[in-house]
Amino acid sequence: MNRTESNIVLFSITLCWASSYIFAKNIPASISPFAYITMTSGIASLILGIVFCKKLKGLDKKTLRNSFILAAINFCNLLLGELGVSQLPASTASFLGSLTIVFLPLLLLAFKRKLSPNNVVGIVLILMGLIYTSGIKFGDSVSYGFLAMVASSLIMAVYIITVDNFTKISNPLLLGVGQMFFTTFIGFVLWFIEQPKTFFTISYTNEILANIFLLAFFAKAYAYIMLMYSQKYASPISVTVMSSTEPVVTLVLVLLIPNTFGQTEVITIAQVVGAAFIVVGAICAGTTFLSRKGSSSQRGLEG
Amino acid sequence: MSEIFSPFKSKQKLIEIGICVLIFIGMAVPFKVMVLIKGFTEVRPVNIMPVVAGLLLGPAGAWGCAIGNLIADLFGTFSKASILGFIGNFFAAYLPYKLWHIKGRRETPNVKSNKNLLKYCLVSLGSAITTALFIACGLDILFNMWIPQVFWIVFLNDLGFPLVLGLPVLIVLTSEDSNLQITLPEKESSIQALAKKSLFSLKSILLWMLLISEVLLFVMITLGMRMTANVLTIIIGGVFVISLFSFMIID
Repeated sequence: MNRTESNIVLFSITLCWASSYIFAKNIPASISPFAYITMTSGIASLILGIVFCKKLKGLDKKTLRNSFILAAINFCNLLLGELGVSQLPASTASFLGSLTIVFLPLLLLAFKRKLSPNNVVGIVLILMGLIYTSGIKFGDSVSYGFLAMVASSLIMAVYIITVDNFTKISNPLLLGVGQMFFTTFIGFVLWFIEQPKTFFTISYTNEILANIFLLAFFAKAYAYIMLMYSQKYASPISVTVMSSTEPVVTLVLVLLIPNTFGQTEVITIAQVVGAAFIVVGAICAGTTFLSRKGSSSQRGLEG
Repeated sequence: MSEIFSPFKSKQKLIEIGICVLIFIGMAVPFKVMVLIKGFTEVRPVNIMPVVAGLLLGPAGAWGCAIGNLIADLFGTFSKASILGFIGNFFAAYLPYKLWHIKGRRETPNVKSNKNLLKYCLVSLGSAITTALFIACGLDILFNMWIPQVFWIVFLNDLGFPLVLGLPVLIVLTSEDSNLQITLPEKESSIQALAKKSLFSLKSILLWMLLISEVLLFVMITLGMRMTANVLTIIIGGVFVISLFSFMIID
């Protein structure tokens, strides 16, 4: 898989996650986050188990352990994100949720992995774009929601780096299937503690089932398997840069599908300017024109 | 012609058809009950299947998609028009395979170069227009049902999903990690190759006829005309159908 191919795969994941909001809004707020995670991940595990049943024979202790670690990290990220979103205005939550683009390079530097000039310039531009699109106002007091959202972004950065390391030593497909299975397991245990009747607490409709199935298929089964495959070939920076274009994809979806988010969205000039910054930043971070020729170590990081 | 029916002579190919059918049904049926976005209820994520299955599995993938679509129709949308869906989905998968291998180089489908990426996009576009024209105009001629929205919905579904989600799936299935056995046209003997050279020019003529008729029909539909509107559109439609079937049948 070359760089263009991995970028295409990563972009398709961003598209799936951005469009998942359309389907998630059709799921009633009364359904517990644990129920949501259990059902979507459970169906995704089932689909992946059926499609790749022959390959599951290759699951060994090491892959299972790595899958469990990934599931645990991802679960923390999802829960903290959920907590943050419920306590913060959407714009603030959106901005703080995108801070992975800042945390990831810092973590990489901590691991003594250098960034290329293109990466640095690109990240700064993306950050400026995120500030514009989210419309965040600085000076707000720090709340639990704020801290939860920041922690969620930090954990997401840890997750991306961990996936990067694990996909180099384990089969990406088996890691993806294993992670999905353990996410379901953790989700179900917590759901059982919260609501012992679990599946019997929900009044199912065709719409809820169809939305859960769609989210399971695209936002879980497809996106995570593709993420595992592409991370085998792409650097963590590429993954983060590509996922940071999510606000732009969302903006385009809003234009393409009116009433996407349950209300008529008004696109502001600030959002358009922000989206432009993000796109330019992503292109800058994904290319090498600022790097000196022959600097192979830097190219390696750019994916 | 023999290539189209070749999957029914091999056990391995029959298994491939079966797997395609199962995946198609699995992806199509759950979304039949969905009313998610007003005006976009017909969104069919299963449409990532035909182009990818056709390119990777050839005629077996095309049969799998056609049979899968027919069975999926039994879950709520089965009617006389399902025959158009059957043939349309067969074309949606088989046409990309025929177009990709038209020069006979037996190149494994991949998008590792920009040229191949463009080729994939054009093949998807060709497949989407053909399927949309075949189904929408087929409804008009056979059942006197002219619904312009059907054309646009089929076209956007058949173009959007293969480009947005089908492309990444193709990338992963043609990556170093995949051990999928990709179907390529059979190798020819020197005599067959000579015979094929003359056929190639015939194929080129048919392809040009198909492309020109498709562009004309596309423009006419965009302008608000229907297939049975006048003699000219009927003639162009006739050229489209004849060149399409002939192009598919010639090995």
